[in-house]
Amino acid sequence: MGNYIQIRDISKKFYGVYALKNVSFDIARGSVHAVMGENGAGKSTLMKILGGVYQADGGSIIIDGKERNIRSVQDSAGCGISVIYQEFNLVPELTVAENIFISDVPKKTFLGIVEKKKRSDNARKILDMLEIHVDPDEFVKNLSVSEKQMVEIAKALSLNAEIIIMDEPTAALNEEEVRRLEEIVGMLKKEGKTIIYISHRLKEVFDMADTVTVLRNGEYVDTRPAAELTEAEVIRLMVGHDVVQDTDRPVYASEDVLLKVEDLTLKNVFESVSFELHKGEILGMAGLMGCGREEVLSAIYGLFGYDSGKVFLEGKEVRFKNSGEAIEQGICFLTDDRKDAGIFPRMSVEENITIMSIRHMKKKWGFYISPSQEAGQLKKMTEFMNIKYARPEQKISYLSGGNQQKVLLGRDLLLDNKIFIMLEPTRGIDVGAREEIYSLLYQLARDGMGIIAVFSDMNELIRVCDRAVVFCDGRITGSLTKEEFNKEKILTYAAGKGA
Amino acid sequence: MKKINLGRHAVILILIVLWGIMFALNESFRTGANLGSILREASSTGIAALGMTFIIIMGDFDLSIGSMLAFAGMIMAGCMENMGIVPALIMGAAAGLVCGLINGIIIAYFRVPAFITTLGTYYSLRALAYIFNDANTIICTDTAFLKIGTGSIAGIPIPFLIFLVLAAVLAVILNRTTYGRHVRAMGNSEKACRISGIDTKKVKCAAFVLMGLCTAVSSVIVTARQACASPDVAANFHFDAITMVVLGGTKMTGGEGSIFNTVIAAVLYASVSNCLNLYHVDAQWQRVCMGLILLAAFSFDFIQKHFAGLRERSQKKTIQSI
Repeated sequence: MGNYIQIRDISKKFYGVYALKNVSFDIARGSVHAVMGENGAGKSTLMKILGGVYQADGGSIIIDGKERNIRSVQDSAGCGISVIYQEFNLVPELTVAENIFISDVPKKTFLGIVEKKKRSDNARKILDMLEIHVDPDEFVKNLSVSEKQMVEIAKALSLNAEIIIMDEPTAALNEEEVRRLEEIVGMLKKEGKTIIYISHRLKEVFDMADTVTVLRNGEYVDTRPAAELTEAEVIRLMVGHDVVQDTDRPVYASEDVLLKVEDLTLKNVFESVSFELHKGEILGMAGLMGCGREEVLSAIYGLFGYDSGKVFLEGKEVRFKNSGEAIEQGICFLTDDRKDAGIFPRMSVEENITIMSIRHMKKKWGFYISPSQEAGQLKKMTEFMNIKYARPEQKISYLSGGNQQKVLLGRDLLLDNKIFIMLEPTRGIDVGAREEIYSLLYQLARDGMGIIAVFSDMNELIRVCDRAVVFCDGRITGSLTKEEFNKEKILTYAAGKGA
Repeated sequence: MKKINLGRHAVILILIVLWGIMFALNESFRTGANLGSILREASSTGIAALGMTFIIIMGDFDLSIGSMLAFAGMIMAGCMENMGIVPALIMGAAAGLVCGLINGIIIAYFRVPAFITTLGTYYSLRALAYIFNDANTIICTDTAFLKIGTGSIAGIPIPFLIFLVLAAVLAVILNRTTYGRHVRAMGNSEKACRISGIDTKKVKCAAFVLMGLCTAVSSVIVTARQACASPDVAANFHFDAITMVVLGGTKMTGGEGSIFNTVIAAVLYASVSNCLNLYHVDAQWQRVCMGLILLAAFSFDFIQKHFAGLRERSQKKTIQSI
């Protein structure tokens, strides 16, 4: 039996950066094989290669002794692989049964009409087998998130695949549903199916997996039987070496509390979130994908509401109904979705940087934005942050990611701000610009601004921040000072342990 | 390196070529009366096209303006009999404002797509225009009022002067005021607007109000030129206005556009129509022709985008190599 699936030297590059580098390991037939790693370790990329969504740049995949050339999702299905992805692939406007059999329509009558009843019956059989209590004729758009996830699982199983890949299937499930999923996995294993299971949650992995493979920064680290591992060991394998902090940098955080958040709750998104931000402090927010930290910050900024809890700005209670009110009070916000929610792609560099400050600019005759004043603002920020562009009237979409990000930062810095909320300030930016943005953060902190920064990359968080709070499933599970920083601790909190 | 941006100035080049040829070939074209009538024709639809430029830059469009024009015209002509010219003009403007406000509130605050909303008001306002005076035309006799449509100052038709003044005002608003920036920003990325603290609903609603006001001014000119308000006037008005805007190079995808080019496109559109008349082209064939111009204007947008894409790529390369 042994080496049912052999992954050999798989590499994949995105924009010249390795997402996977010469990854090789074996998966035994009929086993539950967990693949673990931090954000960006390459787990999902590897699974997408197996699923035919991405093509590997190099290496080979051997299944059941034969080398397979997986070029498309169809090829992958042909190899007996079925993938349950992190993101939902259901069509909301179709029924549960239609979704389950979307690629595998049951026998048609002589006119080519699908036998609806038969399809519903077949769907019900699968749903019953999995103990999923959903009406097969219900529209998918009417289901809850966890029900959708279960339907997604049913869909994958309906294909009768030999190899089932589950990419974080429990992210949207509650405990009861996770337990049921564990039963389903056990059942599939008994039937002799091979399961590749990806999850951040250590408990599930130890409950279910026979073997654990760990990836780190796109490289293979180790594969061991689960029984021989402890949770602490897995975390150590995932994290690797410790990162260096910028220790030479003084901490500017003072005692003055700028922002205080108390028991902020939005049902099913985040719960009882409390933290403080001090003047001159760079507060990091850590957590895994979907942990709710972006949502908490967006709610504070007024992009959406919350059910209960209080926010105090310099001791005064505030509640922003929209972002305009937050901006008036000196809070600004940098999005992590620069392309779709940050830049105005068909407007010039100058217009992009002044879009917020023009509201407060003194205007000629009360309405006319003076070109010279506008140019002056751009010049000020260009010099402050060393932004590179050909002409002020050049469209912003022509700039590099780093320069676009500087324009977005400049847009906020032209206002008089006390608090800067930044989601992934260095996302999609090259190394040089990244360093410039770090020093910008230090400079702003020195000038007394309070900064909340979300970093998915723990190395950055540890390097840049003075203090960090860690989120898991919409709750704060831990808080660390700079002296306590280490990746293992953060990861332990982020996985919901130890709080 | 300064290159002439052909795409941007295409409309004005086409206009110059067309006028050049017509001046050379056709005697009746170059008479002052004929040129005046082209400018008058261009102005009556062009003024509404100015408002439409804002709407399309914002990424929406308005189908109801033809009906709105008829409705505002009926109100205005109806009031003129009893109240006199100034109150009638105010009532006409108010009618346009209210119609635009209704569109704006439904689209911005109730989040009904502009296509559905303005299709709805397209039917209702037309019906109201008929109901207002039992489907009868209202004759206007006030000579001061008729002057607005037919008079000239220093040889330039009054409607065209109004058109130019409005265009100048709206161009300043679009390019150099906070509101204009917000309109363009909306057409670029509504998400980014929300994060930047722009009141997207207010901006959207105001643009439809502006559209209503422009339509009301168009209505004044149309009514004054015809010396009457009739409920069936301006049946294809919205398409004419949208065609002018697109012909002027404003992108249907939103975010970019120019008031100046809309003015040129309005004159071009009226000139083509005028030429067809001069050569006695059959009315039905004229429609075929206008349909083709509409198609050409739309594909022009895509052809331009294709070339812009090529240019961008080469520009990007040079920038990255700096």
